[in-house]
Amino acid sequence: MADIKVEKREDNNIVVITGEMTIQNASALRDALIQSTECAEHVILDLKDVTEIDLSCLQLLCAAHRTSVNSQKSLKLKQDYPEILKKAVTEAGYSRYFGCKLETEKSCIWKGI
Amino acid sequence: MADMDKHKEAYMEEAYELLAELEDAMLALEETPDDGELIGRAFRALHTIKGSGSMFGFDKIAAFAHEVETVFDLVRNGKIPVTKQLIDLTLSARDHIKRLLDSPDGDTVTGGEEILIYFRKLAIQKEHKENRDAVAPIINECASKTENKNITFRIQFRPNPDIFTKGIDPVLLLDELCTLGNCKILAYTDAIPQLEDIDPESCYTYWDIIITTSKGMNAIKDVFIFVEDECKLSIDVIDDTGKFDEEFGNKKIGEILIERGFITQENLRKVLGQQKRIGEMLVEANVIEPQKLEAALSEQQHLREIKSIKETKQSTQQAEAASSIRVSSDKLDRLVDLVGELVTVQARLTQTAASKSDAELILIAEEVERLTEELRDNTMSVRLVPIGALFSKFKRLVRDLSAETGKEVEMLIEGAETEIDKTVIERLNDPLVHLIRNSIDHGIEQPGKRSSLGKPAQGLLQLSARHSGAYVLIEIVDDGAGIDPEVIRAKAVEKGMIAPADDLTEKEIFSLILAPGFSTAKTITNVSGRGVGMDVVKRAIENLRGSIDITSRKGVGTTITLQLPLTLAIIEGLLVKIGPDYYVMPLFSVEECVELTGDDIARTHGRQIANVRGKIVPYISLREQFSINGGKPSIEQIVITSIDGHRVGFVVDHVIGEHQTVIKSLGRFYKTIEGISGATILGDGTVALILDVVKLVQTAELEEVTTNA
Repeated sequence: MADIKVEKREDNNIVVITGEMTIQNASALRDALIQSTECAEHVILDLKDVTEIDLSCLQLLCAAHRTSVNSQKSLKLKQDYPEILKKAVTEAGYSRYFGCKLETEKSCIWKGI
Repeated sequence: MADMDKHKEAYMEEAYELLAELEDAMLALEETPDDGELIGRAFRALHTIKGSGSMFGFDKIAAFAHEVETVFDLVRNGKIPVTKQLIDLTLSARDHIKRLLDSPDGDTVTGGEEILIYFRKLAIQKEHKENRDAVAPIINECASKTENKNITFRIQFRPNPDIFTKGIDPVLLLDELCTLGNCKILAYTDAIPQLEDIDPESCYTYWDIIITTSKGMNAIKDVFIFVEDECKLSIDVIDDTGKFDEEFGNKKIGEILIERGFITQENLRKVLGQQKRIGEMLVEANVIEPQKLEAALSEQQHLREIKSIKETKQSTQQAEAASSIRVSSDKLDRLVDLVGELVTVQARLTQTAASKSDAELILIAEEVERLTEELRDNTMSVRLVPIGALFSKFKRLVRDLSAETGKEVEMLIEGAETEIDKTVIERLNDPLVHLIRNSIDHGIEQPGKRSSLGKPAQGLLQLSARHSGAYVLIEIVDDGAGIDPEVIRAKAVEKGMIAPADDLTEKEIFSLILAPGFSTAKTITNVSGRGVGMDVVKRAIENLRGSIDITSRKGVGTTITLQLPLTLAIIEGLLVKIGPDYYVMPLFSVEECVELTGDDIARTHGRQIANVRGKIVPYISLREQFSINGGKPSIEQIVITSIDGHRVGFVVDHVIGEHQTVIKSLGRFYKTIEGISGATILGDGTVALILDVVKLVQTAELEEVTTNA
């Protein structure tokens, strides 16, 4: 199971995801991500307690970032991401030196992972 | 559970196909043992049988196939040569796997262990040989050289969007790939949509993978073997000097930058254009030195040359793959049924429209008729499959029979592309097996005898198929001993089938072979000669509304010709009327129609022959044949048909015209009636019987013989 909590701060929303970010939960995660990101200007994703993440959810995160870029908002990963995310990103070849072509602010979430 | 069963079923279906593929490859290897492509095919078939087998719980098959595959891996690497022994062994392994598939639990199937012992021996022999021989054969040396050399490949892997739903995680494949060597994986994320638009269960990611490995192309292909149909895949060698590794560091950044969402697989040229612009931008931004960009571009140029060739090839293959889909034959049968119904309704529409004399309605009816006709032809052609698949199945039979009988037989196939109805093909298997068995057992002589007769020691068996009108002709030709008419005659006399004094033509004598209970083999062999053969064959062919013809010359060989209809569902017919009833005659046998007046009958003194342009044509009065009461019209019609090369007329009251006939079989009470092959429903709902003209002529001839006697 995966769980999403939103901590509302003054200048940004922190979206804390815990549990398994896998295809079984992908639909629910998508809906939760849409909800928790649409009303905030700045969103920080906290994935510290994610226990598993697969390709479908990497795509979701990518899509979330894309949406935020499109609506001129910002979406970032909290820096203390777990080893498991690093492993998944590397294995799937998502690591980036530069962002994708949509990139304007060089804010790609995969940069440096 | 039901889902699992469905998967198992799908696996079995696939496994049977793979076994056929394996068999084909083996038989072809017999002729060209060095063909690496064929060895690869056999290996892949075994690999997939094993892999999917263990996935769906066919553990015995998986375990068995694994050991065979191990040996084939050695064969593929040139460590074990392709020998007759290997081919024999593989064929028996194929049979064993088939038996395992056939039996639901697999417990009752034995013999697998013995086969594996031989396979293991092969593998062990190879090791011994390697130890003994300081100088390995050239082929081994080449193989090991290729194996140890580092080659850099560029792999483009684009899974289908629905790959997750097939239970496949592409990342696992990438992991497996990484075990092969130094691997750089670059995911393209440009296809990922906005959060609102994303389908969380679709795969939008695709990859470029640069891998430097010593394991060779095959090892890479094996990683993707289970997803071949679920993705677009291209694997290219970008460096085979083994030095790429050293330069990899320099080129890596350039590569990644280039691939950052700007290369599309479809159009490399266009991409190269884009790439240049980006390159310039990068140089301006001081991200990259012009020199390095230059180097990257020249490598890209190099890639383009290699890839454009491959892509052309691949896109053709993909186009072919995409142009066909698998449909269950039940669905197809249902479609044919429906089209049949539609044809009937359309006929009714046409008839109604004609009787109403409404120009507008007639116009619509004509349009419907044209469309229906097209639809009918199209549907029928969907059911047509090339006969080649059936023919090549017999290669194995011929091979086994030759081994069994000690004869040498070469099999030739002609017209494999000839198309014929699927049902006909299915029901043709047994009769053809019988005929081929007969040809090899009774026809082709032992090599020694052939040599002494001045024939080549190797006998020839030719299977050919070709279209002839609404029929397909299938010929089984052998260059064996031929049939001795005298022997047949003596045997028929002995069996009381003919009288010793009967004067029979050669053709009539040969047709005796097709009579029930006739067998000339002096000893009953395993192969044929149980005396239950040819009449069964004849019946099977006749059930397909076909006919069988034998010609033979003693000492030269025998030709058996099967004439079969293209399709079993619909025929073009000629609608005729006798009294109040309608009948349909198959149009392909009809030659012409002439009038028959009372004067004509008087002139021939009731001998039932007509003079058609100076030629005598015998006729059968269907009114008499079917005992139809009532007065006949003053001018009757003779429908002249061609049967076995003879012209025979059928007298009817009226000829209505051409009629597309959807064949409906008669109920079991009427099945035995001779001269009627089925029925059809006319536009107004009336039933018209379809005449079996061949049978009618035979019956009439028989009656005449009895009357004269």
